[in-house]
Amino acid sequence: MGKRYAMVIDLRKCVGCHACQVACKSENNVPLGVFRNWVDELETGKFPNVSRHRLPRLCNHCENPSCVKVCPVKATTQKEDGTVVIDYSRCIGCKYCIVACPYDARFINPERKTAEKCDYCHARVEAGLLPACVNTCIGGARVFGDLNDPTSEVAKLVATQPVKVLKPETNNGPQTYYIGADEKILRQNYIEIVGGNK
Amino acid sequence: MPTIHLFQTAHEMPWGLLIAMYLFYTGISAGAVLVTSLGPIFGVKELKKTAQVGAIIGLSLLIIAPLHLIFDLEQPLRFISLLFNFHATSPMSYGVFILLLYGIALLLYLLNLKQENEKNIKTFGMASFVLALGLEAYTGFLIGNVQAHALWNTALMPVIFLFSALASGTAMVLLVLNFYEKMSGSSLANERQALAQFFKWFILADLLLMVILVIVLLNGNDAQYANGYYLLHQEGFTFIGLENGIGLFLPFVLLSLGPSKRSFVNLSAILVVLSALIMRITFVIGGQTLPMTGNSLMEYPLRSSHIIITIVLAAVGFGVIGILVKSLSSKPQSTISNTKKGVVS
Repeated sequence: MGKRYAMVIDLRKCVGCHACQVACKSENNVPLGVFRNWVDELETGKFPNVSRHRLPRLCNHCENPSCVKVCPVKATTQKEDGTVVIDYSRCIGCKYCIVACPYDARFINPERKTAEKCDYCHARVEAGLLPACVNTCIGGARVFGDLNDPTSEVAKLVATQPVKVLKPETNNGPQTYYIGADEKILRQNYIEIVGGNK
Repeated sequence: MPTIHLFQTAHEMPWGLLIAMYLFYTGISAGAVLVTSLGPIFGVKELKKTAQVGAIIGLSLLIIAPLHLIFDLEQPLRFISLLFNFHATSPMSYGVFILLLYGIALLLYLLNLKQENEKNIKTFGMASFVLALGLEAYTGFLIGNVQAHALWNTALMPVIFLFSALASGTAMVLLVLNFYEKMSGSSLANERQALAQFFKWFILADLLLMVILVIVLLNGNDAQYANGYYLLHQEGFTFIGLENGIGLFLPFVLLSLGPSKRSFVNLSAILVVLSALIMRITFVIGGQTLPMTGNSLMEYPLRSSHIIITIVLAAVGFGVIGILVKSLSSKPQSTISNTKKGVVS
């Protein structure tokens, strides 16, 4: 069985320092105003029952990625190891992949004028290094590795911990797993946003 | 339970006015061809003389429609690579080939209509008819297949697009017929009446589909419900008032009261065309307003360059319709007067 890269983020260890966000920008030369990797800071509940959460977000390198399906020129592809990558020389900037991604993981690079997103720092990974965000995480919240290797830390965590994913209902099969995530922050509360009362 | 996002990154709405305009023009193009080709292809006698007007509208708007898409690309010069790549799972990919074949078939159909070559009219008319159906189905799939946006992700979408196209396409034919009659010097009263009958039922179908869509949304999952609620509340004035009330219901009433009154038919046609435009804008921009992340509705930053492109292309499109109608609807020689006294040449 080939490799299947995935990431586990243990939210109990995330201190909200945003170092992953900065490291990603630095490593991948991401322009101002756009992010491949970011950390949402959220507050839920009503006083006195309130809680504060952090939710690091990035491309989920889905099993069944919507972005790959809709790309008209096959600029977005999925490698054998599961990493979803973009060939910038092919991308026409139609933004269909951005529209199709349920995780807001994609954006237009204002300098390159093509779609962009996290690619698990695949150049680093191919060189035997960890993605920049994982490498820099001071709390050790981010774990990256081969899900198909039962001895890898990422596979052990997914097998033994109660992991959750964002928007599982999309059937995209997201491969970024969260430990210690409150269900409220993983779901997008659309009704609360529009003000309805179902 | 409220969730407050203290820190979140800003995300831009990817698709906007130019995509909405593209869907609007392809809709009118396909609708005009579908309804008018019923004459020469399926033997509906009352519509035979409208075929040329339908083909003119279809071709003229097809010239400008893809330009909106190209101008919306971040890498406009790379549009050519769409022709050298095929991705079966991407509606945008197969749509490009449908668009291309439809354009070729439509051009040949129009040329043969002018030359009155019956055999070729049937061949290219049928090809145009089938490809026009494909064009509307593909635009429906283009947004209907996007699971991320609950407003779009419904099996109704290709049907909604088809009936909106039929209504707006028929409306445009009725409007251009006024000009065509003046240019050709012939009266097409029977054709107008027949079209008005089709028009009325297309409007009703369009209206009912909107009602069905809202009912399905309000009874769906949280995302669907929120989109239904959004259409009825935040977009209530535009969606209920303008698009469906004034844009569809009023024309249906007018056409029911006076189907043969030219003023009623023309007013209905104008309202339906505007309704189709509002529908595309509401669906394209409104469909992306509910955010994928964060807890505030997305805002669409309308670029001035997009407004200019829209206005210029609209002028070009309608200019081409005018030129083609004028050049292809020449008055019969025997009725052309060349003196002030009206002496027939």
